[in-house]
Amino acid sequence: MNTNTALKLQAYLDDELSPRQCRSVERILDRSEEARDFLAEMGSLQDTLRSHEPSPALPEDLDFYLAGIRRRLEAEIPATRVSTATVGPASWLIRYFAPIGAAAAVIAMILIAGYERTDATRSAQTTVEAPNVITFQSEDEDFTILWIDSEFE
Amino acid sequence: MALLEGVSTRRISPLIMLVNRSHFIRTLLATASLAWTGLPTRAADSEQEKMDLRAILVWGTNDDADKHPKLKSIPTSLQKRLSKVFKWKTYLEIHRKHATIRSEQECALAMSKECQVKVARVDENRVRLRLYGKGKLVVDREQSLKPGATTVLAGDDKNDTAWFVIISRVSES
Repeated sequence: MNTNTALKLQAYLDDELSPRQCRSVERILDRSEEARDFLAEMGSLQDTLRSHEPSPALPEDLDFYLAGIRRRLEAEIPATRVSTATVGPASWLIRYFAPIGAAAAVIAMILIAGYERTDATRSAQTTVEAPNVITFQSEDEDFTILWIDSEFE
Repeated sequence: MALLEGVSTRRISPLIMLVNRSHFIRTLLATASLAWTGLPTRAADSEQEKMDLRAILVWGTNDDADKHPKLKSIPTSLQKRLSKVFKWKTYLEIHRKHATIRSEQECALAMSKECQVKVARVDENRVRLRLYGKGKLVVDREQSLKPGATTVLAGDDKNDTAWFVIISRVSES
């Protein structure tokens, strides 16, 4: 039995062939005992591997687990990354406009904050999101879990 | 002229009094009817502003429930919901409290010697939750809590166990 036939048999076992290719392989199996033995051996090997494959189990619900990873990543990534090098022909423009832009941003933030304070004072005052709290919202949205991670305390 | 004025005044004054009296009666009736129609609305508003809550302190452990005969298991529906998320085998009820909060009120629920939850009504379907552990503020959060909804505050404990404060909004129906 050549390598090509062996590969075909393996593909047949893994259910990767088209109906036409399957029929071709079945014809080989009908006439070759060696092919039948090879297929049986491969099948046995596949069963053994499947039965001994460790199945990783999460300690909690997948969404909850992923929310924890996301929160840890967010905690590790710095909030802002400041570029120190300003190289290039337009660097003088950046140097000139950066302070103006920053001042404009500060003024805009003050204006927005003032507007929000008059409009939505309550939400600004009451919501405190601690970094050690993982929020998990169930699918039906009537069930919310706030997990307080003691590792972060 | 003065005499005429005096006569006319004397003649008209009862009329004016009558008109004034009828105006007074109309005003009185209108006020009474407004007050009457306003009463049920105010009562309904007060009912809407009311929020019935149930808080349960739960201990999650991998022990069998039989090992802790003094503690009872939590309701099956709640156990199923928790089991979808958490790994603990048994969830045992430590303490249970009921409370009703009204507009701009805050209630403090002492769930254990070291655990206290303060719940304040923000609006019809929102509350502010503050959890204190050993007197220290652990969580301060505004949370949606519609009728029938549940919010669970939870954390791990020693010996691979966990605590849960389960706050449910009790439906009026």
